[in-house]
Amino acid sequence: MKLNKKKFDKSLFAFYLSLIILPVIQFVIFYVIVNANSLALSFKNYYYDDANNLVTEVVWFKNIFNVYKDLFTDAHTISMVKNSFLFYAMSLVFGAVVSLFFSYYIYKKRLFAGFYKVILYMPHIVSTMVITIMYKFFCTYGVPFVVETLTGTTVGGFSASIDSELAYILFFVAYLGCGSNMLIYTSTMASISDSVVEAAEVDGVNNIQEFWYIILPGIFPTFSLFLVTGLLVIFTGQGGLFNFYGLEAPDELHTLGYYMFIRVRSAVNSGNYLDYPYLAAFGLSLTFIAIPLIFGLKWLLQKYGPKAD
Amino acid sequence: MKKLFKSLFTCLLASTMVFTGVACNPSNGVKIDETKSQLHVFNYNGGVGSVWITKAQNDFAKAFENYSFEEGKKGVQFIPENAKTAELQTVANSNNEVIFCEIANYPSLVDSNVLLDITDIMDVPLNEFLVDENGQPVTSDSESIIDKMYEDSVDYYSYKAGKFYALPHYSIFSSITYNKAIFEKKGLYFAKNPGSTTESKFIQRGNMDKSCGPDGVYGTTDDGLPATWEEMFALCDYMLTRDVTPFIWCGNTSGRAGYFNYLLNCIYLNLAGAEQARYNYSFDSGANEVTIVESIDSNGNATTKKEVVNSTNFDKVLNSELAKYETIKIADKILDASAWQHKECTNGTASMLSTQQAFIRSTSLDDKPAAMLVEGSYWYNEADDAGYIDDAAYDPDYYDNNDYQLLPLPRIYGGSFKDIENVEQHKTVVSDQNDTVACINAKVAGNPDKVKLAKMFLAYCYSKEKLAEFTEITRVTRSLKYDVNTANLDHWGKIVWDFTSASDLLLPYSSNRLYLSNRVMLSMHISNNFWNAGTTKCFNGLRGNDKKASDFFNRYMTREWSK
Repeated sequence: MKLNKKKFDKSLFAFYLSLIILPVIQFVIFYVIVNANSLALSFKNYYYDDANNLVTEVVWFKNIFNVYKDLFTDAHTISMVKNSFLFYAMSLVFGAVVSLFFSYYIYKKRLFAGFYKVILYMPHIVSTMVITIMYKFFCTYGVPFVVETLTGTTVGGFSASIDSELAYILFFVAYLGCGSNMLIYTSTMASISDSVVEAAEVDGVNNIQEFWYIILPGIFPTFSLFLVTGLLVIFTGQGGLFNFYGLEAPDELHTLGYYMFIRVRSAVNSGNYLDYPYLAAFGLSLTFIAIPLIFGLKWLLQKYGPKAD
Repeated sequence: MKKLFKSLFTCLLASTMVFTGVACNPSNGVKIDETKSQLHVFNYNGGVGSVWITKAQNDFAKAFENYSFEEGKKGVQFIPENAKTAELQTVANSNNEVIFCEIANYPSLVDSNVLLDITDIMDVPLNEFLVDENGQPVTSDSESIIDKMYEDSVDYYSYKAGKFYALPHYSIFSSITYNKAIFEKKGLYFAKNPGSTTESKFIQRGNMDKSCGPDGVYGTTDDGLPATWEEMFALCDYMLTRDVTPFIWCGNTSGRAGYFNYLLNCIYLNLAGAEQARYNYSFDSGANEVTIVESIDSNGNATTKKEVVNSTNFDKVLNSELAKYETIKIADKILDASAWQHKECTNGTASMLSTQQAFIRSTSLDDKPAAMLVEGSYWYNEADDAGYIDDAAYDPDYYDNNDYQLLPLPRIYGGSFKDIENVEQHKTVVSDQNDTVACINAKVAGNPDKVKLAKMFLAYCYSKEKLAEFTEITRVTRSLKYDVNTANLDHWGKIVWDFTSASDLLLPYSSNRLYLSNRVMLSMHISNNFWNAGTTKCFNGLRGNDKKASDFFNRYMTREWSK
């Protein structure tokens, strides 16, 4: 029996082409070419010669070597790594774990579940800058007033010290983290078969057992996805520092992601190309570290994580 | 039907792409007059506004209304754009042809070939270059543009093979504005004949003769002001007893380090003097020696020595200038003294405008009004544009309680006015710091008529009449040699003009390869790194009583330079 070959439909082809051509061009220019350029930048250096001409030279792996040297010896870079892990831990604990418990609470429709849903998700609807400014204002004036009124103790506002700023920012990160994945968790939990849950209730499981043996395995693929992609926060996360400080966060609070952002932003603002190669190498060097970590975590979660069956 | 739907949908998608292409309006809403030549002009209107450029455009259009810049057309129609955007970062994609802007990295722009070569208009007398259709000059200015430029400017702007691609635009500088009315009412001037008590160091009833002030000369406008930084500290403490808050600056968490840089710039320039500060850009002090810090003990006392600056030791010397260490010590002391700071200094949600408003209104609203505002010299323009001056002036006592003046700062750290009495000190120093330029977009290069028009307009804006008019309108000076009829200046304009005229001007740039390689580190703009120790901004490095100036400066001394 001969198969009928589909005739080439020109109008259908034109339709598909018109749909995808812009996204493909954008992808090629803004992803492929831009990243290829960044990659090439990592191996270059710019300098001015005696005739004041801007000269490019290939330095191969010198920039990458300098980045790794700084990662292990430069006090500021080491501090950034520590802060990056601190903010990752906050986003992991609150964004992944506590958010899970809040989501379960909302899924079970307990007391004030609707209220928590709105309060926790609101920062993700309203502009983050608006929330940040409101929060800063509240921390500057509201918190000292409330604490003094309730306890009689005088406490500093947001800008009282770097420690107070860090504490307020960590709380902000935690608050934002609690609602970050809530919608996806609750909808994933809702997709678990009601009959399984009802059968478990009939068998007399309590909430903790239900969560551990039924809900968590059911949503584990989603949860592990957030864990794996969340690992990138170590290398790219700013911890909300740009929202609070612009380009001027104290060194003690810098994260790797924030540092790269402000260095690039400063270079763009001042039109100074001389910094670009080191920054490109910085990103590339962190990529070499991130890739094995992410794939390693993914393998661990797949091997040892709970299964729905 | 399905086929028709597909066709329609394809057309809709295609037209969506076309709509995005025509969304931009290259004429900025201006109806094009086909009988005239068009010229797109961009003006960065933060601080200087747009009134000056509108007037320049109108006057130019009137002067050349019958002049044919291109065949078949007479006169010029301007298409203006006034915005607070860093236009030069995207100049390659801009429709603007003549650009007046700030935050310009001139060497990068030159290297990117986005600016037109304007060398040919630099040394032509303007009354010969700017002539109308009858050959009559439209300006009485017989000087050329280059005649008006300072030597350091000529050197910098022609760094690339002697060619010019831009001109210096306006000059704004770090400043401390003090409310003279508070000083007068509260008696905050140092007495010429002080007693032994704290109060008697300041003028009192029966002892009203003022000290010589920071210039060391009696009978000048700075008499009674602190002559040394130790006197300034004593003044700040005294202000607290007189219910005055010494300092106010913008405490916004995203700007406070930058505003603090204004304070650092002011302190350093006046301690070092223009000549020594210039070594940061020339990398050559000749035979002149600079006092540098060798080491700092646990009490913060520095062991010093003298060295010359040259191209082999510049990093070590410039990193350890004593004047810079003293600056950082002074800044640390001010930062640690929370009682000296207005609440705006620690208000993380403050804005520059709210801080200016707080300063203006503090005499009527605060129990302890703020005496000294740390800001750029343009702050009054911003406050005025925002309506704060007019609002505050509804208070009948406003003019009695507010008289803003620019503060001449001490030129030495320790001691008292007695140490400099009748010994004339170096002038106050101001530093041009916002990298402002005027230039022509290289995109016009292929159109000789447009090139001619653009160059003529640019040169017109640099005639002596237009330079003076700029200052009269904006209250901001230009980084050029020119005169102003002070009768045409308002109160603040006169203050800025007089202050600048009496000061030495530091132009923080040069054609030296070392400067070009380390440009970001040497720019005194508030967002740049002159005061950073590595990535640590000075404000962040000093903030908190546990942080010491000596620790920060020890890190500052290890700054790395590109050689």
